[in-house]
Amino acid sequence: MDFKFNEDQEMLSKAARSFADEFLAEYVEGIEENDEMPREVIEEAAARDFMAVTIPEEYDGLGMGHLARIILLEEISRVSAALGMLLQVWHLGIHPIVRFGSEEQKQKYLPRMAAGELLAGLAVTESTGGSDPTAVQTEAVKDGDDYILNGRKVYITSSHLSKVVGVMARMADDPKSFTIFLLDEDCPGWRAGRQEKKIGFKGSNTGDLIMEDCRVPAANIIGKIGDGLKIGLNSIGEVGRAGMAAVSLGILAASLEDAVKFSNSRVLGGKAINKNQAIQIKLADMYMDLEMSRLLAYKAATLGDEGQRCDTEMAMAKYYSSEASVRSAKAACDIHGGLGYMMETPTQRYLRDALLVISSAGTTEIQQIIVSKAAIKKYS
Amino acid sequence: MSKNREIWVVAEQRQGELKRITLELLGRALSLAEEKGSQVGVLLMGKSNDNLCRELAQKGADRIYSIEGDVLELYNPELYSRVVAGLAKEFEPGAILLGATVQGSAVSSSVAATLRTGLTAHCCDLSFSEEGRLRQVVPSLEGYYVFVSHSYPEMASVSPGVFPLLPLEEAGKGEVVNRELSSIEGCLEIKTSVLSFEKSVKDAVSLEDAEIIVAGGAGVGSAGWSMVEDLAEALGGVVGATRPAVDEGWIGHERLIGQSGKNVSPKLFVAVGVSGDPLHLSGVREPELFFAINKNEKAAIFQFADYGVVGDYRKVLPLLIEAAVNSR
Amino acid sequence: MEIVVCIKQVPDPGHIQLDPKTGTIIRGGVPAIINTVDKNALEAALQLRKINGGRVTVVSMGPPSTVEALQEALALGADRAALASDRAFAGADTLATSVTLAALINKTGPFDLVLCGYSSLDGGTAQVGPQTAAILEVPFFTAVQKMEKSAAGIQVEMETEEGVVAAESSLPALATITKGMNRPRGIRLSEAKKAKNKELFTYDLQGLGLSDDQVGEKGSGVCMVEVLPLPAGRDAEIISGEPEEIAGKIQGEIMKLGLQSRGGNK
Ligand SMILES: Cc1cc2nc3c(=O)[nH]c(=O)nc-3n(C[C@H](O)[C@H](O)[C@H](O)COP(=O)(O)OP(=O)(O)OC[C@H]3O[C@@H](n4cnc5c(N)ncnc54)[C@H](O)[C@@H]3O)c2cc1C
Ligand SMILES: Cc1cc2nc3c(=O)[nH]c(=O)nc-3n(C[C@H](O)[C@H](O)[C@H](O)COP(=O)(O)OP(=O)(O)OC[C@H]3O[C@@H](n4cnc5c(N)ncnc54)[C@H](O)[C@@H]3O)c2cc1C
Ligand SMILES: Cc1cc2nc3c(=O)[nH]c(=O)nc-3n(C[C@H](O)[C@H](O)[C@H](O)COP(=O)(O)OP(=O)(O)OC[C@H]3O[C@@H](n4cnc5c(N)ncnc54)[C@H](O)[C@@H]3O)c2cc1C
Repeated sequence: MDFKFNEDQEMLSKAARSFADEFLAEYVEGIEENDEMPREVIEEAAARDFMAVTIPEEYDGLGMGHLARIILLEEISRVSAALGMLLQVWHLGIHPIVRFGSEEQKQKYLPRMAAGELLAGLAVTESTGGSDPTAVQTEAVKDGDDYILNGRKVYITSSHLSKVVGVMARMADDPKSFTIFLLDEDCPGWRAGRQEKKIGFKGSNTGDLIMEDCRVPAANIIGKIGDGLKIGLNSIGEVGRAGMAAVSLGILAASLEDAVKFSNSRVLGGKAINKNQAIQIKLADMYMDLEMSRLLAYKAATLGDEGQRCDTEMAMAKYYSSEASVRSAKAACDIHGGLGYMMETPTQRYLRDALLVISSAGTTEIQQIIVSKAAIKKYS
Repeated sequence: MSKNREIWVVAEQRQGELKRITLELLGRALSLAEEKGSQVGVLLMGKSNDNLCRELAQKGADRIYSIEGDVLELYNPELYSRVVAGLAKEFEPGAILLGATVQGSAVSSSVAATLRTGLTAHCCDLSFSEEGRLRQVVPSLEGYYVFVSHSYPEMASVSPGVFPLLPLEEAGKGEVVNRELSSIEGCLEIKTSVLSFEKSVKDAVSLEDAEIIVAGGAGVGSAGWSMVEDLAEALGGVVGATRPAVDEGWIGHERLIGQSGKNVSPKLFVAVGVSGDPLHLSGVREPELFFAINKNEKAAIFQFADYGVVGDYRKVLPLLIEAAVNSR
Repeated sequence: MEIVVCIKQVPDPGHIQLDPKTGTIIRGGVPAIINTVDKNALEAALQLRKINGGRVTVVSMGPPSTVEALQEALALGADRAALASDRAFAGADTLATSVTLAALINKTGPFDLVLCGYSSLDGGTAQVGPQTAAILEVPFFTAVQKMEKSAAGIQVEMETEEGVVAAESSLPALATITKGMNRPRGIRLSEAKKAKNKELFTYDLQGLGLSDDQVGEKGSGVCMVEVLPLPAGRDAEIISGEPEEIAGKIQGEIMKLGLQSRGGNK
């Protein structure tokens, strides 16, 4: 068992940290205030190839694996979970094309995605409930060589920014069959709708995606007709959850850092507050939560990088780290006293962001179902 | 062995005027020379030096080495360094003092390397040890480092503002030694030409002369920086800064106070979001009244100030600005 | 154009702490970074390479862990790197540092331009650039905020306290760069991936053809003989209360000083 990053991963972590600390940090206040991600931040992230990590080298990507991606997202989310979220979903949109797309589709989209020109996303959730993808109502009707899509997706990350979105639709002629269609700039009839106002992830856009007689050529189907659930669940299971776990790691790290810094400098009754056991216990728990979350996430990612299945492990990592990030962010707020809940202190942001991680890419309850199923299977 | 060797000051002039640092250095060199029983030489480079030679003689320089030439009108790092190194080889002074300015740093460094002798930067004090070595004192985080050189000439660059200006001495009788540029080793093979000089627009009151300074540090942040400027204006003073604030680009380098910036001696000094690092405070010389505003009650600045406010400056400054404006 | 950039690895100033008992710097455990303005020098080199072609070599003197700084510079786009590392180099002043750097630069081959940062974040003397130039016997410029290749060689603008001096020299030459010159790029991952295949040479004392009395503590021109304590502070009286009261009290103390307003800093 080797707990070290390799040379590429070390470099990536350094590069991501310097981007976060030296470039991104300056923008965070503005992002929170305006609930918008400035163009230049996205452009700078693209210029540094952060969009390209998971794209294979033959399509101008970097061909780095799951672990590399987690390292990147953790470092970025440590400073801005919102940008972590934006990137995570970008990678999520890319994954179905890389893993299941045709050669033609790869040529067409991946190089431009790697360069950061095409923002990508994946749209599954509908008002009928994100926890049950088979409840999807968006319908695809065959029309010659094309398909006509009608429906409305909700809570879609980057709904108002994405240029290419993989959409899961039910086939009109076979209600048990689901397919993922790539909506791109050449498909007339899709647009963003309502824009959500969230308590956290300010600057990560979330909203509705509306398809009204949206015409999609058959060439834009990922995999085959009927592969939708498999592709959707694989993407969310391996990439979506890994991403949310990584965002949680960033929040955990930031919460701990701020808590330590503040408890060092806050003097009450003549001594720093972290000389009190009650504060020390909180710090110990926060540190352990960070390390346990890392171990779970890094292990799951390492399995993925070895080509093994990692959906159960990713579910554990997502479940544990997202819940831990809420605990830890709250503890960071508490350690700051009243200050922790004032808008001028970042800890309140960590808490708001952490809460949103829980509901994204599969709720805690859904992860519990997945993990318990695996346990029962293994130990029966 | 160097007992009677001269102590040299390399003068800095701009458009026919001596810079203040040169006179500060001259004052110190004179008292050092007196202690040692040696003399002070000033090395002056410029287009035409008559007036400045007279001024330097009046102010007590024993010998003024004057090198004139059109090419010496503007600062040319390569040429200036050659001149100083060449004359130092010829006359073998015991010590050479320069200002820790852009020009002084460049010239002292090049000369020291050419002569293969030691050089101490940003000195805040100079004295002789019992053995007659020049003790060159430099502020650091841990205290004041004292450096001595292994060889001669002993060379130091001195931060502007640390030594007081000297009152004019009427009876100056210094001798002027003229040297042709062409007679100095290496000065004919200069590869650098100076094309132009553009004077920067100066503030009305410079930091060194200011009686009231509001200094902002890293804790201020870019968004709140204008508050520091507003307070300075309301109090009728000027803005100073710590190195992180300058590095972030919130304010120009000419506003830096401390070891690598300026030494100031205001009557009133207000430090906002400044931690109280010795390398900053070494540049703040004995203000009559010193306030510090910092949100960390353990910040070192509170050890040095007369009055401290623990808290976010953004809460206090607006009211302070208002109070200052109202009481004008 | 053959460009050499000198980069120094320094302790991250944000992480330096003093031992509360002894008042000395705690040396262990402080993360090291590339001296920030050296990144501006590297950026300037990469931009010159883009316009004029050629090669960028980064060099440093330091302990073996300095390879990390050099690797970062390679990841940022430098073509190759060279490190001078030997116990004999320890304790160098700026003169001994410059002698070592000059030998290292000569070892990397003929050059057109050497770039340094204006000053370091730790020693901060601003001496190494001009001293290295003197030892290499090339013309030099300090505090350069603008630079381009010209017919004669290189044309620069130097910042001084009074204003900007424009100057020109033939090549080879050396320049020290200020922050105002440019905004350094961040690491591009695609560039970083190539870094591990780039050449990184390491030289010791012998490898540089130097003797031990030219370098390190022995080769230094100055030595530190004493550390004097910092002056005691005044121990501030803490003013507390509502912001209004605080402001009132401060203004009251200021009034007692009886200063004349000089009419602001406009
Ligand atoms: C910030 C944000 C970004 C998002 N981005 C995207 C995106 O880009 N693309 C996308 O497709 N979706 C996205 N989503 C949607 C997300 O995947 C869903 O919110 C999530 O799957 C839950 O679905 P739901 O909100 O409809 O809740 P529901 O499915 O209605 O669940 C309601 C509650 O019931 C619980 N529950 C449901 N089923 C069970 C069960 N069988 N047993 C026990 N408890 C159960 C859930 O855990 C939850 O507590 C995003 C959500 C958020 C908050
Ligand atoms: C507080 C303090 C004060 C000191 N004062 C003096 C003094 O007065 N005189 C003296 O001789 N020594 C002094 N030293 C020692 C000096 O710091 C070292 O000699 C150091 O190796 C180089 O000097 P610097 O950091 O001042 O560099 P600077 O001259 O400030 O650095 C300018 C540029 O030179 C280049 N450079 C510098 N060092 C290296 C390196 N090792 N590798 C590659 N490039 C480099 C970089 O491009 C850098 O940006 C002092 C040290 C300290 C900590
Ligand atoms: C060789 C060398 C030379 C140097 N030369 C100089 C020099 O000439 N001048 C100089 O200044 N530095 C110099 N430095 C740097 C110096 O060591 C310190 O790093 C620097 O002075 C610290 O600046 P600061 O107080 O602004 O920042 P920090 O040390 O980061 O302190 C910021 C302070 O702001 C407080 N704060 C944060 N937010 C708020 C808020 N909202 N309200 C109130 N307070 C807040 C924090 O509690 C903290 O105490 C030099 C260093 C070296 C090594």
